[in-house]
Amino acid sequence: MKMIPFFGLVLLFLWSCGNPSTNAEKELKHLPFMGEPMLIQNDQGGVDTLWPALPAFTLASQTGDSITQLDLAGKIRVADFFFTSCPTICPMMSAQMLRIHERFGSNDQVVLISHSIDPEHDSVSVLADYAEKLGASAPGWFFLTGDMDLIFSLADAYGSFAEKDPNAPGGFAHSGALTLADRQGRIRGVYDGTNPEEVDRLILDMERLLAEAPDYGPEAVPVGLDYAQ
Amino acid sequence: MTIKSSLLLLSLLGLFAACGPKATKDTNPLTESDIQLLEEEVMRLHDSVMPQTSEIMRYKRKFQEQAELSEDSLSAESFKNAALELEQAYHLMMDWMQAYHAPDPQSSLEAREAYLLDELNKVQEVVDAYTKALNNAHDLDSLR
Repeated sequence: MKMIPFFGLVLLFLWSCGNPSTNAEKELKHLPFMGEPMLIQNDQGGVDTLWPALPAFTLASQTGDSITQLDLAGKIRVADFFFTSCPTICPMMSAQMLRIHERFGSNDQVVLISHSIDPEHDSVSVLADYAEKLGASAPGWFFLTGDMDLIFSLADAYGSFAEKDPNAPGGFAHSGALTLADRQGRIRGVYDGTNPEEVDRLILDMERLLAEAPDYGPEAVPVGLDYAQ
Repeated sequence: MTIKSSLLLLSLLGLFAACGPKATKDTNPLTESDIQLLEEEVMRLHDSVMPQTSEIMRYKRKFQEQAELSEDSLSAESFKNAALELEQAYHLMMDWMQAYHAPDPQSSLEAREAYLLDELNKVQEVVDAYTKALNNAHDLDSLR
């Protein structure tokens, strides 16, 4: 009979350990929010947590249309930064983006955006030619060109060039990143766009974001493009 | 020494003289592998600085803004010059990449070697421009 309290304790221990891991698994179904939260004092004397979202922009696409953040609103987006004359990693990144385009191209909740970091050479017609040869089509996949400073500021906002900061989202030591942002423009993942296995993970994470409620998580606030660091 | 043996010796010397230079050249003929190594070296140099493009452009934007905000004309001028040097380095890279094409495999090995050696010099100029512009940018930034 002395064994009964002992078994009771073991069961209690197992129950108490089991529950948190179940909760943790539930939490893990959501992707993390990347970047630093903004803590804002509210009218009730409390503090609201806001999350930085991608900034506003206007750029030209391969079709010649102006594309702004409003064209992406409510959509899950995958972004990269490339240029058509890139001799090394861009063809690998484009091949991986094409995989994603083939998988989600017919889903109007998903958009791919490739920004040219050589906008002077990559005109609308050059991008149209590049997109056609690749087999990419708008509105599922936009190739964007425009103001050089704006594009590089966007690249910083997307965390696509994190080579100087190994602690930055994704911890990349190169510039071949694909960035995943949710329907509200909050960054939820950064992946190595030259590594097919990383892109497999990105595709799975896109499925998770598609299944997520659009209003999930902290309120998003678009960040301004402050050029000073 | 008989005439016969003298002729034999002369023939052998002639043979060595004729074959000598050619034999030396044949030990180091230009190969596809040499061309591939040159191509890889061109790309290695490019890759060594290309990821710094974001930093180049970040400094450029920062210095442009500081030039506009600066009340001291000397400081404004140095920020403006640094921003210009950074932008020129960026354009040098983009122009080089726009012009560079992997050599036509149908062309001769010698032609491809000459092209790649020329490109090696050009991309080295890009590397130097990036390095100099970034070093100057770091120095200027640390003076603030």
